[in-house]
Amino acid sequence: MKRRDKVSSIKDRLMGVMTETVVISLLTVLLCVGMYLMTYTVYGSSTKQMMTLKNFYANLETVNRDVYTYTLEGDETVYDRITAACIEGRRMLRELTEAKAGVQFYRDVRDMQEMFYSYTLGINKIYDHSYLCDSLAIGSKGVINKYYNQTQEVYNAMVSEFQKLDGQLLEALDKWQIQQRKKNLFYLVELFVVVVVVLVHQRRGLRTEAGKVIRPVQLLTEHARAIGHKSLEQVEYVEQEPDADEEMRLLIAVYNSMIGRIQAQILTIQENASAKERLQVQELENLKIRNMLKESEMKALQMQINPHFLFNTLNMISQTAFLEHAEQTIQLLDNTAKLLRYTLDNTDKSVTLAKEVEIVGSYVELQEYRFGDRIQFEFELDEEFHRVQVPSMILQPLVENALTHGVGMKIKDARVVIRTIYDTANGLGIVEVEDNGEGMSQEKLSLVRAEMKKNQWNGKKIGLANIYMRLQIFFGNGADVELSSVPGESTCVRLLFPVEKETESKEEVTPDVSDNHCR
Amino acid sequence: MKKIVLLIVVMLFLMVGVQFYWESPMEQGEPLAYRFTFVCPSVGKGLTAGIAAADEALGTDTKRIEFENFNEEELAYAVLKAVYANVDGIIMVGRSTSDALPEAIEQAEKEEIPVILVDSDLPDSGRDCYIGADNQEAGAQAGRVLLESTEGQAHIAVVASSLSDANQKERLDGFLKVIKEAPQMKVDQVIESQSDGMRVRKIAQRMLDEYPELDAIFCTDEITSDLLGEVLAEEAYQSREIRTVCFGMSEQIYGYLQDGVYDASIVQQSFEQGYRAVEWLRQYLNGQAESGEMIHLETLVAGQDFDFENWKQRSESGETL
Repeated sequence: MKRRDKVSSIKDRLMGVMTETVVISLLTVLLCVGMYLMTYTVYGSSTKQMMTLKNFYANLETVNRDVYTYTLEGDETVYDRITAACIEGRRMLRELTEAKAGVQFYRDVRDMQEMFYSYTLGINKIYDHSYLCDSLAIGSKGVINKYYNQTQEVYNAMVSEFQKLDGQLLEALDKWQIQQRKKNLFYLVELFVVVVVVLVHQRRGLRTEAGKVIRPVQLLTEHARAIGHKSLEQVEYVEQEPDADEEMRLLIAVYNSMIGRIQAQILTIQENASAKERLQVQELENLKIRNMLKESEMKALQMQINPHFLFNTLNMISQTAFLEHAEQTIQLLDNTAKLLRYTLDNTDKSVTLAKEVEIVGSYVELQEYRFGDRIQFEFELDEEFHRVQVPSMILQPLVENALTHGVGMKIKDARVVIRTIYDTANGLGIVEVEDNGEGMSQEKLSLVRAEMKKNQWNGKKIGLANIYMRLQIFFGNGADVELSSVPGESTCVRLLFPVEKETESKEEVTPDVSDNHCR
Repeated sequence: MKKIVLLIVVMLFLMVGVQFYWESPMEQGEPLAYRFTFVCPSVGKGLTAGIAAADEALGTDTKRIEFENFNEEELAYAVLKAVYANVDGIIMVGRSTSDALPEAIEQAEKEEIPVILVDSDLPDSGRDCYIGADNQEAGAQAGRVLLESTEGQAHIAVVASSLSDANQKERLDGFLKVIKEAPQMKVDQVIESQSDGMRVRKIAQRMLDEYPELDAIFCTDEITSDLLGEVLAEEAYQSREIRTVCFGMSEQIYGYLQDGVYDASIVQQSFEQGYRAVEWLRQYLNGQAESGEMIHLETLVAGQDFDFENWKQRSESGETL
């Protein structure tokens, strides 16, 4: 209810400003009309008085001619005419006494009235004496002539006064016109001042209303228009005008609230879309891993066919060697069979690091037989964490790589070090395979790192990429493979993976592994 | 809205105020108890001021008919017109050199309109009253002043406007009576100026040049006094140390008094004359005064210490009449 009242009050205010303007305009017009009418009335009155004076003079001349005629002829009708004209003359003079032409004019008109009275008395005397004479004729009627002459003296005095009155009235009219011009100028200035004051006042009123209502509406409109050019999340809130009307403030607040909700919803939609995208990537990754696992299983199955045939063959050879007392051959065959079995049995299984190291030992024995003194194999083992579970076949391929790509071509003094380090401070198990072979240039090292990280799987080689991928799958992001090499001197491959605390608690000495290159 | 209404109300008040303010000089006259006419040649403003003050105080209405130049025929006709207009009374200055004015006064008397003369008298005109200075006494007063300033030894020139004017003649008579008592005071010249500026200059110069022993002047009227001072103030005559007593008061005369050109001036009480004239007419119409009265007002001897500002203020107060 209160709000409705407020809304109507805005309307009332705007209507008030309009009403004021209309009322003031009407008043101004009325004043102008009033001024005009007043001017016209006074001017009309002055003009009328001037006409009255002129008419009086004309009337006086007529009367005087009639007096002469009557004096000569004694005609009653002429006398009647004189009487009527005298009455009219008195009326005119009476009218002139009311003229606002100044005190001196009034005094002169009063004198003129008295003179006219004297004049009519003279005429009456002529009339009275005309009854006493049987026949009227100038010259024979001395008394009448005397009276006539007296009337003429007064008449002349009146004519003389008339000139004065005429001049005075003209002067008064001039003075009045000058005064009227001054008054009109004053009124015009006054009206102008009033109009200016009113306009300024109305303008201020309109500006106030504009500040309260129109300006907030304009702001809203500008913001609404800006939405068309900007994305919604970039749209800013509408600032509240300090002078804005309460309703307008509410409107702006609601608008801002609406913008806020829209922006929040857009953000939620964007976040959902982003999460969905991440999920899709994850699923794609999982699918890729599953495919790789299946492919790996297939390869393993394929590999299981030949190993059985190989085992049988190796057993037969081993029995033959036993019968021939070839001890060394038996040893070689046992190691080969052990290695082969480990490969077949533990594909896609986790084993302890100790087992891995053991198998590598078998492999090393085979290679020592192959390379003789050309290659020295050294084991530097920290067995504290060797119970940790690791994916199978992560160490042997590294040693094989060191032989194939590192020291294979070296004729003497070749050396391969298999090293395990337990970094208790960081909870990491570290396995290093270092050779003093040809090494790699930085470019090649970068290339190998890149290929490894991209998980390039050629389907035939079980290389670094395979180890890296399997460590990632097994340990998650906690595992890593680091490569370092000095061209012509050495290459070191380092496997890092997290070790559980059970193992860690047994460790007292924390080796320094801050240096990326192998020890 | 209130402010606007207030503004419009103020505007209306201003408009009405302006309307009334500018209407005032054009106001309508109103009938008063007594209608008098004051016919006068150009005289000092004091008379007019006195009449105006009396009008205001006594509720009378006096119409002024003034002429710039002294023309007796015109004055007489103005009196006759006042008679035709049947006014309640006529006030006029009794300055006459012909029969026109006395005849007009006679006509007024015939119509039983009272006539009162001020400033100058026409004793034989049949006027009802005269209010003004005792011209004999005024002349004697001038004589005494001159007697004192010359220590009874002087060659005197008398300059009058017209000696056919009774007032001036009376003044001269009074003057002569006084100086007759001092044998060493001789009137060498009596000159008539006819109130003409050029003539005053001409006769004054000739008089001063032809009579080097001349050391005193008595001027019998205000108009000549106004004009004569100009000649006496000239450098050629300033060394003569001529003792001069003049008549009347004006801006010029006061200036000559201050400059030492004139020693003294005999001043009539013009304001009182005007006031008393109206008062007398009112009393006469009410039966409180009788015809034939002569009211003499004292004349003042004005020297350098004359309070001119006060006199001027009083004299000019009747301008609106």
